[in-house]
Order: sequence, then structure tokens, then C-alpha cells
Amino acid sequence: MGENQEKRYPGEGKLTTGRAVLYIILVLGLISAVVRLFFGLGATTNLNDAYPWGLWISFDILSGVALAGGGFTMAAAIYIFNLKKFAPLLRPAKLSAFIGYLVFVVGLFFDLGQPWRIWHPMVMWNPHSVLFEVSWCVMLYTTVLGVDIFIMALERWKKYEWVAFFRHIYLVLVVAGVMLSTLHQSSLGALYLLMPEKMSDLWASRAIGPLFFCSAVIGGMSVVTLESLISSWAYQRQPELKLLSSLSKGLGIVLLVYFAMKVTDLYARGATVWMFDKAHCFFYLELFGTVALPAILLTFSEVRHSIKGLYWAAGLAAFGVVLNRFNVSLTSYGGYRDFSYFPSAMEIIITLALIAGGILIFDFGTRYLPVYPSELPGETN
Amino acid sequence: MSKAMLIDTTRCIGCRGCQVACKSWHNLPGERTTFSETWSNPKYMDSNNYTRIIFREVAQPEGKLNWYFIKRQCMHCQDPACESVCPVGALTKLKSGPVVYDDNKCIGCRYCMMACPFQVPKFEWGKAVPLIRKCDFCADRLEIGLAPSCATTCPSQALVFGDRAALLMEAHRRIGAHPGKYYPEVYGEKIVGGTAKLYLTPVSFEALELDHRGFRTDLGNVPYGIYGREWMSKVPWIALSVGGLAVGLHYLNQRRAEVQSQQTQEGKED
Amino acid sequence: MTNHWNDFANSDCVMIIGCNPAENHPISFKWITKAQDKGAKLIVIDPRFTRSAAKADLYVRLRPGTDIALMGGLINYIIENNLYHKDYVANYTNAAFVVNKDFAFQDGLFSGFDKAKRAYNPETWSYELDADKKPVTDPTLTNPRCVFQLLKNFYSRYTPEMVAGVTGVSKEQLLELAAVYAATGAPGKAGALLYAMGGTQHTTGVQIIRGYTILQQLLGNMGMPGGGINALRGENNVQGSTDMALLFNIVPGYMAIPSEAAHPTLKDYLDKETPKASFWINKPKFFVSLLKAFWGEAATPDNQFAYDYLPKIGKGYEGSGYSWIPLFEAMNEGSIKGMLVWGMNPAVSAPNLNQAYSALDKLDWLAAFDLWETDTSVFWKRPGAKTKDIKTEVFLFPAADSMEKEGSVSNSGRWIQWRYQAVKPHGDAQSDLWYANRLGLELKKLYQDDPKAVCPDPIVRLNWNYGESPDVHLVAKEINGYTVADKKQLANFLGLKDDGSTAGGCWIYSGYYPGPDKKDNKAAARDKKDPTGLGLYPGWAFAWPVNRRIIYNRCSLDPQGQPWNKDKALFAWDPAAKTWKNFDVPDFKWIDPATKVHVGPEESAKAPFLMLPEGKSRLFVPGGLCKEGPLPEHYEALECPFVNPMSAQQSNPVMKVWKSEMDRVAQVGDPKYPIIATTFRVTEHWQAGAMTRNLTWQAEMMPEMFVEISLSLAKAKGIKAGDWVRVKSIRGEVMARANVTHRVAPFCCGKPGFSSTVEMVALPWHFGFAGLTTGGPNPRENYAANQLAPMVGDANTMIPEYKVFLVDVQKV
Ligand SMILES: Nc1nc2c(c(=O)[nH]1)N[C@H]1C(S)=C(S)[C@@H](COP(=O)(O)OP(=O)(O)OC[C@H]3O[C@@H](n4cnc5c(=O)[nH]c(N)nc54)[C@H](O)[C@@H]3O)O[C@H]1N2
Ligand SMILES: Nc1nc2c(c(=O)[nH]1)N[C@H]1C(S)=C(S)[C@@H](COP(=O)(O)OP(=O)(O)OC[C@H]3O[C@@H](n4cnc5c(=O)[nH]c(N)nc54)[C@H](O)[C@@H]3O)O[C@H]1N2
Ligand code: SF4
Ligand code: SF4
Ligand code: SF4
Ligand code: SF4
Ligand code: SF4
Ligand SMILES: [Mo]
Repeated sequence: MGENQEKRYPGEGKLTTGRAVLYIILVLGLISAVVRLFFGLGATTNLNDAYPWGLWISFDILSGVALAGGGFTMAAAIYIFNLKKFAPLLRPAKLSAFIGYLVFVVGLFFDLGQPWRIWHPMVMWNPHSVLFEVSWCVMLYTTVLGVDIFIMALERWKKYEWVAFFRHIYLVLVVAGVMLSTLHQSSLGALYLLMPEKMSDLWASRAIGPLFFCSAVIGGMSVVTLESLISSWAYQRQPELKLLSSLSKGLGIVLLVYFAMKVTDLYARGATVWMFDKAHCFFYLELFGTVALPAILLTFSEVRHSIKGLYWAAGLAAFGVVLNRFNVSLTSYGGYRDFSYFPSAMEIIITLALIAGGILIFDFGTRYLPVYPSELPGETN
Repeated sequence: MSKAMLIDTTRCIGCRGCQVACKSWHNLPGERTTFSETWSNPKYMDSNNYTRIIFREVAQPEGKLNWYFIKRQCMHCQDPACESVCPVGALTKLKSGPVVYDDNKCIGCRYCMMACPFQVPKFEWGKAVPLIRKCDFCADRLEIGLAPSCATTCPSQALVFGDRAALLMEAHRRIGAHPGKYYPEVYGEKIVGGTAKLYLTPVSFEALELDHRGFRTDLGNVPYGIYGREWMSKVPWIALSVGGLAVGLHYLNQRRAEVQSQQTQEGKED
Repeated sequence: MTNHWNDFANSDCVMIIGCNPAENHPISFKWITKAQDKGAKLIVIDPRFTRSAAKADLYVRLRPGTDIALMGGLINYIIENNLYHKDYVANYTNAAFVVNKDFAFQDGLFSGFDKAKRAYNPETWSYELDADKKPVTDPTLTNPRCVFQLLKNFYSRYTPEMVAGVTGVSKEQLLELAAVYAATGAPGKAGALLYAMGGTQHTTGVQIIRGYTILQQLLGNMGMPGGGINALRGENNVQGSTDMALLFNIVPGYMAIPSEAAHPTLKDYLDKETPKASFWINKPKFFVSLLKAFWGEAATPDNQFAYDYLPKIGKGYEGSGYSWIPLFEAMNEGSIKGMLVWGMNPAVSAPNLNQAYSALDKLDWLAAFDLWETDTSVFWKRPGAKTKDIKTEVFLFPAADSMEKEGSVSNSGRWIQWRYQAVKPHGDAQSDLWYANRLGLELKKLYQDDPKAVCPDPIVRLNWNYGESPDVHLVAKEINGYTVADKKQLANFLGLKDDGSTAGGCWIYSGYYPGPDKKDNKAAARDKKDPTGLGLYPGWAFAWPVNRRIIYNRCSLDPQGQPWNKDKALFAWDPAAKTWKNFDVPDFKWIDPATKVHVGPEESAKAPFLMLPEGKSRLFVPGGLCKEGPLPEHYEALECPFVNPMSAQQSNPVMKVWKSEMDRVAQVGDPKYPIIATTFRVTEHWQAGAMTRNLTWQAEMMPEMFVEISLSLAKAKGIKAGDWVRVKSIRGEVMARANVTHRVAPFCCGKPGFSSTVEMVALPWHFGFAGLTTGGPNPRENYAANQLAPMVGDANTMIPEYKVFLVDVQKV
């Protein structure tokens, strides 16, 4: 590809204010990361024996993975449910998913007490451990996504015979991806199956696996929506409004399904739903503000067809997924522990740096890889 | 024979010899602390404190005062949650009773801390190369035929080490022989599938208001590991069915789309 | 202790009074808990609810310093309700003895009081003698002047109402306590009484313990397995050190130290100090053998066995002259120039610390032998010290600790137990024996080499042959005793002679090293057999005297020689065969040493207490042995918020009160110091703290000075749990964290009808200013409880009154 061909949108490659801010955060994050590695978790985080898992688990891992669910959701939609019209959304979704998982892995790396042993689960097996399963799934799934991104790179490098080979076996990758995602998205919830006594009734559910899975689908769809809207804004392209409103219809349906699952689950367990305390406030916010509300919003065709409406609905839904992960992993414990936890500056910086890093890689990826439909060789709008 | 320890809190005089003996055997540092209003000190179990005596002063309305001393440490569950969750198998329950930890395997994910129903495993937050720390039942002592350090030290035989079955019998004997002295339940006999530390208390842990401090009474008798194992047993089936379904749906939908497009084509021709 | 630690397990009722064994003698609870397992009741009587109290079946909160009144109430109840052990009292105590007709008691004072001298003439405190100079007795116990009737009469004043008014123990609780403990008065039942510093550290300490013993005698609990009067001793070898006369008033083996005034010659000493009856008639043998051990060949019949070499109590210092308080008073006056502080830490442990500091400041030199740099060896660095003005030169000698040396320790049960060296001394440290030996050798050399030396002989001619690096076995063998001529170890003290043919360092230890070889060392005996199941373990170590595990053990049998309790037989007299079967070493005449014929029980029933001339235990102490009188009477502590409800005599009439500038005392009911304070120990710390405040494992459990404060006082003063407060007495002040707790509570006391409520606070006394942990974060503050305690002692022993004084508490 020639020099001039690379410029596809105004400001590409330039150090805009936005990028500068992201780089600063990234650098701060790198410094914090080094400090974290040398001085240990106690010195750099507010984690303690009462809160062994904090912001990084809640956000970088639980939320991150759920939000990166777009990759498998779109792949499933397109390849399994054969909804080919969504094809234009697939590549950015896969790229963001891949980045999401990278962020996850890096986040996990810093969260682990002994990150250099991150490979241990590969050789030291405990098949009873949900976390063991999650690590394998995530590892394999990230590999799958990696292969996918590699295919894009091959396209860019014009190694079409290779690309063709991968196209040939692409279904295998898709099925593996969907399977692995289903497993670990739900298993991340299943991690919490072992601690019902510590969690608030509102979230301590035996059905937490399916619930996590379902909300990961929500996360994936809403992020794909948001990502498409935002990148079209950022790269000054036309948003794929038709596709997105069609996708949002699906999102609305999944939200309704999720709402129904939640309510059924709470009812079946006889949880105390009506009460006024901190946990319940967060719970109401989650259930009504970020599940019911966007679901209702999306029943309106005006909403589905307006950029603002989509921003709101998808934004709320995505926020809802994050809120749910925080609720499960932190709020839920409010009444239980006699310590409080609020992430330290370093934790926040590292998390922000991961996000910044993710965006920068995405930016980089969109620049070098054929992500957007117009650039796809052999495929046209 | 699975070993256990009977902790008869009615015999404990709160001398904290066990606390020191544990530190002594495990070479754990003492910490700078400040005064503790209850006298329990250090104020929490942590990576340098595998065991602690909780002092509990309870004034009865009629004026009688009770002062309870309750030793806390890893319960050495018969079917430990911590073992079941550890992704690398760093925690293992030995046949002889102890739940031990392998320094060389642990990745520091802290899932064991989250999963333990008694909030036992603690993390070396202050270290750059941290490990999980908890009472190990002095497994190295047991191996050479010694009793745990704390039990050896205990002056009033509040801590008795022995075979679990025999100790359970002894515990029930005591409850039977001294009605009114004991809460008629051996904490650890059945809870979460049973533990190797068995407690006799004068009143329930709820009445001691320690149920939120690692002595929960509402844990049920099912080993917590089961929840994880149950899930894991489903995993292959989920994998297979999702995979199968995906492939099936793929072909089905593709076929349907082909048929559809053929139809539309045909329709066009019409 | 008359009994021993394991023996607590044999008790039917354990009374813990004035001590806190769960915290200070934790291992005792091994045996106390065993007794409880077998159904024994545990009583704890303490002003504070302690970890021992937490285990008690009956806890009684008593105002500190009022044990005598409580005992009086119990004695009264037991006699009134006929609950005493009648056969025992009649046969084994001096209950039947008729007392001098001039003996009297009125309004708090016994006959013979000399107000000016603050002393008694105890002439009338004696038995009525018959024509043969034998005490008159009335076995029916009905003679109004017999001890029993006197006792009954005397304690009839201690009515439940009166006792409640003094002690703060409610009438109901007193009666409950009386009923529970009096049950041990039934023949065959045994109650063990355990006491320590809560009983002794009072100006009336000795009489408090006397009160305990009267209770035990009335209930027939002496000499019984599971009974006895048991002083839970303090430092691990404090029993051994008092046996060896680490006290101001005795020489080894509990013989009085001679005084210049009373005992100018050996004959004077032996005549005056040897009673006409009892086993003590052998005292000359013990004493002369001691002199022979000290001076060996230099001690000859011609020079009174070197009696003149023996330092004596100087004129005017008789009695308590060389005890702690007078020494520190003298030091403060500047008449003492140097001090060896050997394994103690007075800058924390001494009463009225400001006085002690001021005294230390006046020394020319101070040599400290310790494991650590203690508060004492850096006394010139204390908060507020004018370091520039202190000229004392301080030497610090590193001492080897107990694991680093070989030797014996004696426990409270009088078991002499051998210990081996576990590790070599750290650094330059040396054992105390090594230092003492060195000091002896150097002194000898200095005196020898100095032609101008004054009176060198006592030092130069000392029998001092333990080698350059002293062999501890040589010392042990010397203590056991040997024949001078052929250096043969004695089998026991019966072999000691008063003609200079034997030498022995401490007669009561005789028999613990009866042969020349290490294998003969009975202190090292480790036989774990317990044939009786009573925990006597006769083959484990050696219990003085003569390996007797329970002393006064004749009292475990009825006069006919049958055990009061068949299940706990120490001896069995077979009336048919006329022989004894012994499980413990008899503390009575059971065999004729010459003929080897067994002596029937009737004879020993007449004198079950061999060490006393009357052969009976003393409900009434004749002859001024107890300076306050023959029967314990309640007096208030020197500092007290209450007027003594019992009599016009407010405090101990014969205690010595110092009047120096540093010895300020708060007046009775002083409004500036309205709160009673007491001091105590905790398990986690050891004494003056050098041994535990320097150990992180100990310090982390009890890291800071605190004061136990009742909920009501905290409320009244606006003090919150954990606040730093200032506790002030008229002598000094300390900072402490407020430990607001139900474990202490105010007392409602006073003459019936005039009672008032007074708060009590309690302070641990382990904290100081030196070492790893001091007591608090501020180096300019005091954290040592003894800032507050007064410099006043018991009239007999001079033990300081650490357990009652007045303070105020202020929020910082
Ligand atoms: N851990 C530990 N153990 C020790 C020691 C130590 O420092 N630390 N020290 C050793 C030494 S040297 C000794 S002497 C012993 C002392 O052992 P203890 O005598 O048991 O020690 P204390 O705690 O000083 O006092 C005991 C109790 O007496 C109570 N008391 C105070 N005044 C009165 C009173 O008037 N009447 C009654 N009935 N009780 C009263 C106090 O509240 C306290 O609980 O402990 C020995 N053991
Ligand atoms: N307020 C208050 N004051 C009290 C008391 C109280 O109850 N209340 N109790 C009193 C009583 S009962 C006592 S016994 C005294 C105790 O008072 P101290 O005897 O002054 O106190 P300790 O801390 O026992 O001092 C012993 C010292 O010996 C050192 N040491 C240990 N082993 C060895 C050894 O082998 N050789 C040598 N050379 N040194 C060694 C230790 O390090 C320590 O510094 O305090 C008295 N003071
Ligand atoms: S108590 Fe906790 S740490 Fe101990 S064995 Fe059980 S689950 Fe594991
Ligand atoms: S922290 Fe270590 S021991 Fe605990 S679950 Fe993780 S790997 Fe296992
Ligand atoms: S068993 Fe061993 S590790 Fe556990 S508390 Fe006792 S001494 Fe400590
Ligand atoms: S050693 Fe025994 S008596 Fe002492 S605190 Fe521990 S359990 Fe209680
Ligand atoms: S000597 Fe004291 S510290 Fe040692 S075992 Fe006995 S009671 Fe415990
Ligand atoms: Mo003592």
C-alpha cells in the first residue's frame, strides 16, 4: 500500500489532543505498572485480605471480557445465524474483542501476585477449578481472536492464498470462538458460585453463569453499537445507522430476555428485593436503569433510528453490564466485610492506562488493518 | 487416619501460648501493633498471623460477665473450597488431614481467599513476590509424628490433637456429660462437609456474635467445592452442545439461506 | 506451696484468691481444669474479672485490700454454722490451747501496743502454761479463753453486713461463697487455696495470708491431697532463691539472719533461735554445717565456726532494715554508693519510681547483670531525666539466660529440677555463677594482696573452690552437704552435725545430691511413674524436704491413721500388722530410726506439724511472729477512700511509714485522688518487661500501656475506649490507653448505713521507657505504673503495697 493510500480519514496518525491524553495516561500507567511489579500489590493497591479482588477484577477482567463479547456475538450472528447483513460490523468487533482480551490478559498480569507464573495453569491442572477453565478458555479464545487478526494482517500483506486457506477453515475458528466464549463468559460468573454466603442475596445466584453469559451478549452488542458510532464520529464516517438499528432491535430483545431471567431468578430464590440500603440502590440502578430502561427505550423505533437514541440505549446497556460486574464483585459484599475498599490512585491509573492502551491499539489497528468495510479487498459495500 | 484438632473453647484460658507457638514454629515475624480494646491482637489474621485468639466480653443483663476466648485458624475442611478453586492445584487436602499449600505453584490469583467460607487464606500484600499464607496444621510436624505446635503448647488442653473420628466421639461425650456447659453441637462436624478443626463452645457462634468473623453458622453441610465441581462437570457438555449447535445452526441457516436465495432467484425468473 | 502444681487436680474445690493463674501461671490450669473435669468447683476472688475468673464457677468481686474481712466473714459463717472439720480442728490445730488471760483486743488493737514505737509487746500473745510450763489445753474447745472460742468471738464481729460494707461483696454472694467453699470442710473433701501477689502486696499482706490459712485449717484442708495453701510463686526460680536466702531476713534454709544486737556470739544465736521443741531443735546442726560450708577449714569450734565472719544485721536495722524500701530510702539519702543489679529491673518494678530514680541518681556506680539493656541500666535516659547532672557510672554485664547454662531451678511445689544447657551463651555472655565466682575470686585476691585491707579474713578464708570456670555440680554437692573428713555426700539432713564434722549449704536441700556422681543428682531424676495416680511422681526431680511432695501430710489421715478420703490415700496404717504403707514421704514420726519399728498413728496425731513447738497448726499465732497480732484483723490500706468500718484503727498500726519528701501519701478520702488503683500482670508480659517488651511476638499482643476503666467511670469522665488518659497519684503520673471494660466496676463500701461508691482502675505494671516497646509512642511520657505506687510495705515482710493506692484519671 502506498503512502497516500494510508490516509483514510482526517487526522490519521497525527498527535491529536485526544491521542496525547491517551499517551500520557499510558505512560503514567506504565510507570505505575513498574512500581506495582517492584513493590507488590500491598504498596500500590488498596486491596487487602478482606477485599482480595478489587477494581482490576471488577473492571479489567469481569467487565472487560463481557464488553469484549462483541466478537463472538457478531461472529455467531453472521456465521451461525447467517445474518450476513451484519458483516460490516464484524471486523471492528473482532478487533475490539481481541484488544479487549489483550487488556484482560495484561490486567490479569498485574493483578496476579506472581504474574510471571501466568503460564502455570497450562501445566498445573486442577480440572475442578472454574478459574482453571476460565484461564484455558481465555487463552484459547484469545488465540482464536489472534488468528483472526492475523488473517486481517495477511490480507493487508496481500497473502491471499493464505487468507484463502484460513477462509476454508474459518468455520472451525468461529465455532471454537463461540464455544469458548460461551464457556468462559458464563464461567466468569460461575467463579462466584462458591461464595454465596458472602454475597448479597441480590446477586448470589446459582444461575449466575447463564446470567453472565446473557449479559455478555448484551455487552458485546452494545459495545459493537457504541464502537461503530464512536469510530464513525472519530474518523468522520457515516454511521451504519440501518445496520445498527437492526442490531439494536436484537439488543432490545436480549435485554428483555435478560430482565426476565433476572426477575425469574430473584423470584425463584425468594430474594429480598424491596429494601432501602446501598446494595439495593445499586441493584435498582442496575436492573431498572440499565436493563429495563434501555430495553424500553429500544422498543421505540425513533430511538432505534436516531444516533442519539442508540448512544443512550447502548450506552446504558453497556454501563449496565459493567455495573453488574461491579455489583457482583464489590457491592455485593458491602454488608459483609468490616473493611471498606476504594481503589487506589495506582489501580485507577493502571485501569485507565489499559483502556487508553486499548483505544490506541484500536486506533493503530484500524490504521494498519483492513477493518472497515470500505477497505476490505474483495468485499465491497 | 484423618487427623483433627478438638478446640474446646470452654477450656481455653486465653493465654495465647498457641499464637506464639505458631509464630515460633513457622518463624513468623511479630508486628508493631497498637493497643487493642478487646485484647485480641494482632487485630486480624493475616499472612504473618495464622492463628489468633478472639477475646469476647459479653455482659449478661443480670450482671454476670462472660469472657470467651476463641481460637481461630484454618479449619482444614474435609472437602476444602480452597482446594477446589485453586486453578493450579497449589492447595491440597492431605489424607492425614492438613490442607497444605505449595509455594512453587501458586500464581497469586487469590481465588482461594474469595472462596474460603471461613475467610482463612491470607496474602502477603507487602511482598513483591507474594504467597498465600495460612495455618498449615503444622503438616511438617505431623509428618514426623509430632502434634501441631499450638496444641503442644496449650496448657489447659483446650486444643487436643488426634484422629478425627475419636475426637468427634470425645466431643459428643463431653456434650453429653456436661449438659448446660456446651452448646450441643460440634462446629466442624458437618458444616461445609466437615472440617478437621472441631469446636466445642459454651454457646453458639451466633450467640457469640462471631458468625460474621469466620465462624458462620449458615454455611450448610454441603462442601462448597461442590458448586464449582458441579459447574465444571457441565463444562464439557456445554462445550459439546454449543459447538454442535453452532455447527448445526450454521449449516441449517446456510441451507435455508441458499434455498431462500434460490427461491428469490426463481421468483425473479418468474 | 504446701502441695504442688499437679495436686490441684485432686481438689474438690479450688479457691483462687489474690492471684490470677490463668494469666500468670497458665500451666496450673492444666491441673485446675482436670479438677473441674472431675466435678470440682472453681472460685475466683479478685477485684478484677480476670482470665481466671472467666473460667470460674463462682466469681466474687472484692475491693482490693479487704481479704481479711472476707476471710473473717467466712470464718464466722463456718463456725456459726458448724461447718468446720471438727476432728481436724480439735486434733491438728491449736484450737484447744488456752491463751494468756491478759491477752485482749479492743477497737482494732491487741494488748501490748506501744503507740510511740508503732510496735507491740507480744508478751500476752501466749499460751497459758501449766505447772510444767506446758500449754494448757481444753479438748472440748469450750474454755472461753481457748483459741477456738477466741477465734469464734473475734470473728463474730465480721457479720455478713459488716463484711459487705468492707469488701463490697454482697451479703448474698458472701453466703453463696461460704456455702460452696465450706463444703470442703466435710471430712474427706479437700479445698485448695491458691494465692499470690493479690494477697501479699499489701501493708497487711502477712495477715491476709494468715486469714487464708485459718480458713484452710478450719476446713481441714491442710496436708490433704487437693488441699493446702499454695503460694503461686513468681520468677521461675524464686522458690529456689528464697530457699537460698535471697531475702534480707534469713540465711539459707529459712534460719534467721543473726543480728549484732541480739546474737553477738554463736551461742547467743543458737540459744535464742532454737526452739525447745519441734524439729527445729536441730537448728544448730543446720547452722553450724552452713558455717562449715562457707568457711571450711577456717571454721573451727575454737572460733565459733567462723561465726564472726558472717555479716550480721547492724544495730538499728533489725527487722526489715535491709529490705527493699529501707535500702532505697538509704540510697536516696546518699548512704549507699554502689549497687549490683543482678537480674532485676527496679527502674520499672520498684514502688514510687520517682523515689527510686532519685536514689539511682545518687549512686557512684551501678553494675547491671542482665540479658538486655534494661530500663535500669539506662535509668539516666528516662523521660525528664537531667542526664547532665547524673554522675553514676554504669556497667552492663551480659548474662547467659536460662537456656544457656546448667543448674537447678526450684518450682513452687518445692521440686528442685535440673536443667541442662541447651545452647552456648550468646556473644560475651556468661552465666551468673561464672560472674559470682569471678567476683569471689577477684575479691579474695584483692583482699589478699592488700596489706592495708580491713578485716580480710571473711573473704580471704572463704571456702571457694569451684574452679576458674565454676562447675555447677560442685556447688550443688556442697548445698546437699557432706562429711568434712572424708568428703562423703550426705543421704539427707539427718546426717548434719553441729560439731563441725559436716558441711551443708542449705539443709532443706539435703538429700538431693546424695552421691558423688552426676547420676546421683536426684534433681535430674526423670521417672514418670505415678503409682498413686495422685500426681506425686516421686521419681521425678526432688522435692524438699526429703522428697516430700505434700507437707503436713499427717493431716490427710484421721487421728487413727486412716485417710479422710480413701481414694486419695497418701499413707495406709494397718492396725493389725501395725505397719505403715507410705506413698509419700511422711511428715510425721512413723518409724523409730533406731529400732526400725513402725510408730503407731496415735503418737503422730499429737504432733502433725513437726516444725512447730506445739506440734499443731496455728489458728492463733503466739509470740509476736506476726507483728500485727495473733489473729488477722482488717485494716485499710495506707491510701484509701474509705474510713475503716471495723475499728478506729484506720491502717496497719505497726507498718513503717516513711516521711521523706518523696514519700507523699494521699489522705483518707482525699478528694484529689478519689479512685482506687491496683496493679496486675498479663500473660503476655513478663514483669518489668525487659524479657517481653524486647520480644516482638510478645509485644505485638500487648503493645501499649493501658488502664482498665469501668463503664461508669468512662462515662463520668467522657473517656472513650482506646483514648489516651493520664493516671495521677500524689507521687507521679502515667499515660495509658483507656480499656473501658465490664471487667472492673466501682465498689459500694463503708460502714453499714454510710456506704458510698468508689471507682477502681487497674494498671498492668510491665511498661517502661527502654527497649523495643516502651508503653506508648511518646518518649517524653511515663508508662510505668509504679510511678503511682506508694513506698510502703507490709509490717513483717516489707513487700510493697502495689495493690491499693489512690489516683485520679484524666482524659488527655
Ligand atoms: N505472664 C506473667 N506471669 C507471671 C509474672 C509476669 O510478670 N507475667 N510474674 C511472676 C511473678 S514474680 C509473680 S510474683 C506472680 C504473681 O502472680 P499474681 O499474684 O497472680 O499476679 P498479679 O497479677 O500481680 O495479681 C493477681 C491478682 O490479684 C488481684 N488483686 C489485687 N488486689 C487484690 C486484693 O486485695 N485481694 C485479692 N484477693 N486480689 C487482689 C489483681 O486484680 C490480680 O488479678 O506471677 C508470676 N507469673
Ligand atoms: N506495681 C507493681 N510492681 C511490682 C509488682 C506488682 O505486682 N505491681 N510485683 C513485684 C514482684 S512480685 C516482683 S517479683 C518484682 C519483679 O521485679 P524485677 O525482678 O525487677 O523484674 P524482672 O523483669 O523479673 O527482672 C528480671 C531481670 O532479669 C533478667 N534475666 C533473666 N534471666 C536472667 C539470668 O539468667 N541472669 C541474669 N543475670 N538476668 C536474667 C531479665 O532480663 C530481667 O531484666 O516486681 C515487683 N513490682
Ligand atoms: S478453611 Fe478455608 S482455607 Fe482452610 S481448608 Fe477450608 S476452605 Fe481451605
Ligand atoms: S492464590 Fe494461589 S493458592 Fe490461591 S487459588 Fe490462586 S493460585 Fe491457588
Ligand atoms: S496447627 Fe500449626 S499452623 Fe495451625 S495454628 Fe496451630 S501451630 Fe499454627
Ligand atoms: S494455648 Fe490453649 S489455652 Fe492458651 S489461648 Fe491457646 S487455646 Fe487457649
Ligand atoms: S514456668 Fe511459667 S511460662 Fe513456663 S510453662 Fe510454667 S507457667 Fe508457663
Ligand atoms: Mo514476684
